[in-house]
Amino acid sequence: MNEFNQGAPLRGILPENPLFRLALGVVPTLAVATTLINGAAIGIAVAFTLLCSNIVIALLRNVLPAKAHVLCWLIVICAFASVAQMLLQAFFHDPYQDLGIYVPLITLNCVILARAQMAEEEHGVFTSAGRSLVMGVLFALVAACVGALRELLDSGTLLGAQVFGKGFEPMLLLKLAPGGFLLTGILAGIANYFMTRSKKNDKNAQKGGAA
Amino acid sequence: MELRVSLAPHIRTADSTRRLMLDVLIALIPASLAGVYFFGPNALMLLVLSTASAVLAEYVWQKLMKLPVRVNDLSAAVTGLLLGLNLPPQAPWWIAVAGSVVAVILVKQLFGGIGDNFMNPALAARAVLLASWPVHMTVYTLPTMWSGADAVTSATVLSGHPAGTMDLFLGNIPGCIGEVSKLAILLGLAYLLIRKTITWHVPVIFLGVTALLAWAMGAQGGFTFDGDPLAAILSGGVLFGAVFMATDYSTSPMTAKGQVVFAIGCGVIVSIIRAYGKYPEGVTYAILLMNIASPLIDRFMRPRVYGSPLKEEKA
Repeated sequence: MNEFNQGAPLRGILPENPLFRLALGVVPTLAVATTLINGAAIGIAVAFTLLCSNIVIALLRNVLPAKAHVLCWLIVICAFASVAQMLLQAFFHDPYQDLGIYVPLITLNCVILARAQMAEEEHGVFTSAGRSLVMGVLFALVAACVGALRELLDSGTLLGAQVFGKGFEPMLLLKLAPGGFLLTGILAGIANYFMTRSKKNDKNAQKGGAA
Repeated sequence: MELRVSLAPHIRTADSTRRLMLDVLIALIPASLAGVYFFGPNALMLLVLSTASAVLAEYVWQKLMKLPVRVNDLSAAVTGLLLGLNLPPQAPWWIAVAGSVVAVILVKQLFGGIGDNFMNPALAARAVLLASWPVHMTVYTLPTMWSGADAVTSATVLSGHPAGTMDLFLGNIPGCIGEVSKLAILLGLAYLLIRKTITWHVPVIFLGVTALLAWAMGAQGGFTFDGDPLAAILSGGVLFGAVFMATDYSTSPMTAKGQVVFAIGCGVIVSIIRAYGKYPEGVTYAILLMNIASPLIDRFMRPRVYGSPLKEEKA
């Protein structure tokens, strides 16, 4: 776990990108990020829960009983997931109906649990809050991108507006979970391809330096 | 100079990937000609387009990824032609292109290229097409024989189109381009067996199990022919799949014993899908499922290492 505590604060962008590198939080992306709106909605709900629960957990990290700390995290996360659900229900009713069970399920999102674990080991509320903000925003961005691509290809629309001409034949597979799985895998592959390439370049540049 | 380290026995053969793939292409010629004969210019266009776009996709990918370009081994051409033969004859042109790109890039190259793909590329692409554009992939037509008349949409034999045994055998029935003429497929099979490109195990056992189960399930088999075992293997894509798809080297088990298990599994799954599934035909999914099971079969069917103790001796 020490690995997580070192390095630049903005590592969430690629090295710790929840979906692409850590393969966490895949379920909501596959299941409900079928349009740009839905992807952004689930992403923002996750980011909100992540940030708020992380701040509280970081504040409480010295008082939580060691034997039951996971239970305590879950209660905190649960509370904020419920808040997110109610906010969605009150202000964004259409996406809320599409997201359904996946909003309460944010509680069990692995990104949030992983961040909770890190928050216990990091020093200070501000570090934790900053990192979870970056991670949450990235999760939201990726979920929105996946949603936008799926919306574009499986119905030819973006934000409900027709993009392609009448000749376009929608690819129904992407509406289904397997299509989301394939698409997320391809995006992760592209991201990793460029990352390993830049890492190789770094290594070549620092040849002879310390490991 | 290229140094190769390998285990004994060191036997040289003239087999190369290119030679094997060329044999498969030759074996596919009768089925292709029959399909074009029965279904006319659109079928010809689909076959040419799918083969060409598969080769092009492989070439472009290997260039982009700075890999050695291996289009000359003909494996992409085989994949493309197999995919084309698995399309309905009136499918639009872009279905062939999309399918070839999915087959070569998504199923084959992303997993490491030739020999490393765990699913049959042509079949996996067909499954993707079927899930993505179900309407285009399930419209079958009666053979037009180049008459120029508009093709008449029809159910396939497995969905209730009546057909005599002779029509089933020669291919005068609605279906995918390559699967209709059983005579042409059998010619291809004979060539592959004579050239020793494949062994008889997989096709014969696959078809045998399918026929046996069709006969055993009878009218309960959900099959138009009330359990006629001959009709069961002459309709749908089971013969084409058994000869050209289930015998793919990289996605079927390595040992003869493993191939027997593989073929039995294919036959059982096809029969179950035909009898109880939502789709009238299940050859694609049967072979894909057994492709996925192949590494497991290989693991359990590992041949005894020469000189190692027999099981009885261990106890």
